[in-house]
Amino acid sequence: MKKWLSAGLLIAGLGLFGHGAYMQAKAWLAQVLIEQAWQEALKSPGIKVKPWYYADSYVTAKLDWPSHNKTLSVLAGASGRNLAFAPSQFLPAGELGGKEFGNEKGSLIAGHNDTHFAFLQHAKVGEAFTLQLQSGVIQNYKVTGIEVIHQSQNSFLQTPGLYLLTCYPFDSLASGTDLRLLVSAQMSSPDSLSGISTTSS
Amino acid sequence: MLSKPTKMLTKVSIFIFIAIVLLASFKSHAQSPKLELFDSNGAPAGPAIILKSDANMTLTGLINHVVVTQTYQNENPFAVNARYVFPLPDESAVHAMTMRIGERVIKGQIDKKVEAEKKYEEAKKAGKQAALVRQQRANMFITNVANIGPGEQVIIELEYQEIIDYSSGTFAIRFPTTITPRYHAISGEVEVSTQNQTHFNSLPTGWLSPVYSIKSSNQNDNVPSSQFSLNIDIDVGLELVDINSKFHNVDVQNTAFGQYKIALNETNAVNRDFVLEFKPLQKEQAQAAFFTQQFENGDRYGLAMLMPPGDHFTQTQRLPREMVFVVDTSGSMHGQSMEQAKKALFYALSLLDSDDSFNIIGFDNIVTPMSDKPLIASDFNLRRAERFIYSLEADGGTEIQGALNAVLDGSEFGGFVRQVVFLTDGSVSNEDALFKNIQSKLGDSRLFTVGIGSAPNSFFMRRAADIGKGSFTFIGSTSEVQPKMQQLFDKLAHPAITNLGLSDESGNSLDFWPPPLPDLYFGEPIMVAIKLNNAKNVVLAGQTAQGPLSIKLSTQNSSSAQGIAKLWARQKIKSLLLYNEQNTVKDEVQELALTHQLLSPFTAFIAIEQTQIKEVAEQTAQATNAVPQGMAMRLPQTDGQSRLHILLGCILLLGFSALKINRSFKLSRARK
Repeated sequence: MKKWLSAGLLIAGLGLFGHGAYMQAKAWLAQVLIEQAWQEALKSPGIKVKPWYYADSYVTAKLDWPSHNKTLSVLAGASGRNLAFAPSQFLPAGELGGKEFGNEKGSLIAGHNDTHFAFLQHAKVGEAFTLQLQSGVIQNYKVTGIEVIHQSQNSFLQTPGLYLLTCYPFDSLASGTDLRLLVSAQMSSPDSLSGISTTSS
Repeated sequence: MLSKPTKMLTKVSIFIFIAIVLLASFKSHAQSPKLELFDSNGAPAGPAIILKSDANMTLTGLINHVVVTQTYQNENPFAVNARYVFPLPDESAVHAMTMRIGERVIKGQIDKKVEAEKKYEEAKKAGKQAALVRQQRANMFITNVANIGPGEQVIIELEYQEIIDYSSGTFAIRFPTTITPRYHAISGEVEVSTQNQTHFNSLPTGWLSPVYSIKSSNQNDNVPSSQFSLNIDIDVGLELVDINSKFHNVDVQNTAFGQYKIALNETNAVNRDFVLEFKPLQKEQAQAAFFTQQFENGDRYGLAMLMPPGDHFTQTQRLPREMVFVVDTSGSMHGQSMEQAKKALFYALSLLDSDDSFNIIGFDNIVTPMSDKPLIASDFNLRRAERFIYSLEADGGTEIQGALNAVLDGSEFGGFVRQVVFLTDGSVSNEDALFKNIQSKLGDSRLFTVGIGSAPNSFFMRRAADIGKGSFTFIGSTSEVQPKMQQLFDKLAHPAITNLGLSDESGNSLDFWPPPLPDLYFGEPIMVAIKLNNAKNVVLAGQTAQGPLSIKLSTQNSSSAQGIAKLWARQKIKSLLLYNEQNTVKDEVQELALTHQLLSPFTAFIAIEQTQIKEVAEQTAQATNAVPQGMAMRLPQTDGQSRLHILLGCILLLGFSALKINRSFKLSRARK
């Protein structure tokens, strides 16, 4: 009886722990590979660079959020598979790059709330971060709003800007939540970059 | 002290429980206060209008006469104008409109669309109460009501007729209650927010800005934003079996022989199409029907339904086939729709013969073929196809054009039959351009459309199949995939009766619509509206695989019915618009629509209350439709449980080591 109990505990414990650790490790390791692909992509803008040869996605941008010490490469297509590896750009929304590129629609990057985008729970309005496009252009963004929305509310995509999205609440016991944490950001003028980088560090 | 394992277990489980509770309460407590739920537009809510919608159907013979009652209730302390975009069945001939304000009843007049719009605007400015009903596209209509006073109620009644579906021995009535949000291929936009449409003058021209409410999906549990009721009186003179509402709860009452009363028994029923199916007890009785309508000026119209005998379809040699499955993987298919499509594809693969060849093409805004050339249906290729289907994911926009270009190139095929099966929810807006494209490029291929999801754009798919000389199948839920695909494949496997035509007994061609009649597949009846002059008999001629077919129908022993002229006119308008440029047939369509009092793209119903002058409303309220059930354009799902798993894993491992320590402690004591 006792033997079965302890064996059961061991198996279940190892299983759960292993699964959780695997997800974390995958998210972390993939970022290393994707970062390499990103360096490759920067050299040849216009070519879709896959992070590994059998991947069905490509790198599109790099997020740098100094105040949370986060550097994340972004993949195209917010499918469950891509999200496990990296924050991903939601393709039905607008292109990355915003108004400067003639883009009237908001662009959306989604990430898992337990790995890449877990830090969003500490994000504050007014914080600055940068987005590097494959052309090498680095854009400065400032967080203008943080809100919780229902997953069917997508009308915000009509307003230009960059949106970061992750599931809400964080560390929830149940999966499949319908709520999302939406971080809206607008491009700030490039000359304010120096000011922000000193204050945020 | 800790000798009993049960005691140990209790302790461990209590520890886990406390840890979880603490964790959960701490986390939620720590985060919830600083965040609030609010509208992401940040805009204050516009004026609201409460809409109640009722449909009363009376089914006699093959014709369904429907009265749709829309009740607009203004709950605001000021006057508003109301606007409501709503769907009706695809072939509905809207022929009457009535406005009721309290005791007053104003009969709507049919007029040219431009004229009606002008009158409406004038009435609106003058503070008169007015209503305007227009056809936005064949299955989508707009009601505008001007100057509804505070607390006032305005009722708009619309009447339409349709021929009910009959296929494989089953009758079907379909009533759409909501609109699938459409993808705009021209600009690639997601959707225009309904908030921007509060002004009358921002009406779209040609391109549609669909309306669906996000609010209603959140409030579903409490108050549905629009109320809906539906009643059907069936009087077909036949004993019916299997009266079956596919997706809703209904009450069925058998009041007399051959008469049935059906009422919707559900309060929140507006997020999916209503489908009622029933079968006559004896199938033979439903094999032919003929209804006529006689006018005083000598005009005579007929509606014929004919089921060709089944033996014309069987025992024919089977030609090898090339089947091309085109599956929509756009964002609007995400969720249940995609699951249904995949299931349908898997099932379709299992029905292929070894001498058939096939290909699968997925498309959203890019086209992804499984293979460049059609493949032989060998085990290896079928497995490859299954892997391909597994990997399909719904994302992106619906660019049907690209997919059509990939499968239709106008070529002819000798020695085999080429059938294209198109699975989509049809969320497109540029339908007319697509129809032209199919018509010009069809060649020898046949196009079969399969509608997927709870509210597909069946207008698009039905017409696409019409032009593509195939048929349309509607799959509304996962459990329907198998029977519906089986039916479709039965059709595909049996050759059709082609070159169908109608004439009187002396061989003169009759004025019937649609011309040419579509190819007829197994289990389908011919349903045709004819303008009979003095013809006593109608002869149907066609070509089967075994030789020519000729069936004679006598117009003498037909039963008389109302509204057949309108159905004839509706069919004619449909065909004129389908096969011609709009500008070239505009006058003809307008003329037809005015004579037969029909709503069309060029006509509109207008009702104006002349006597009372009211406060002029400054705002327009938009009555909204529910989001289709299972509808996607979901924002990505991003909740990971890895941290929780690690935590739980650690707790369990702790429990395990506690047990181990306890045991070794006991062992060492025992040795002593």
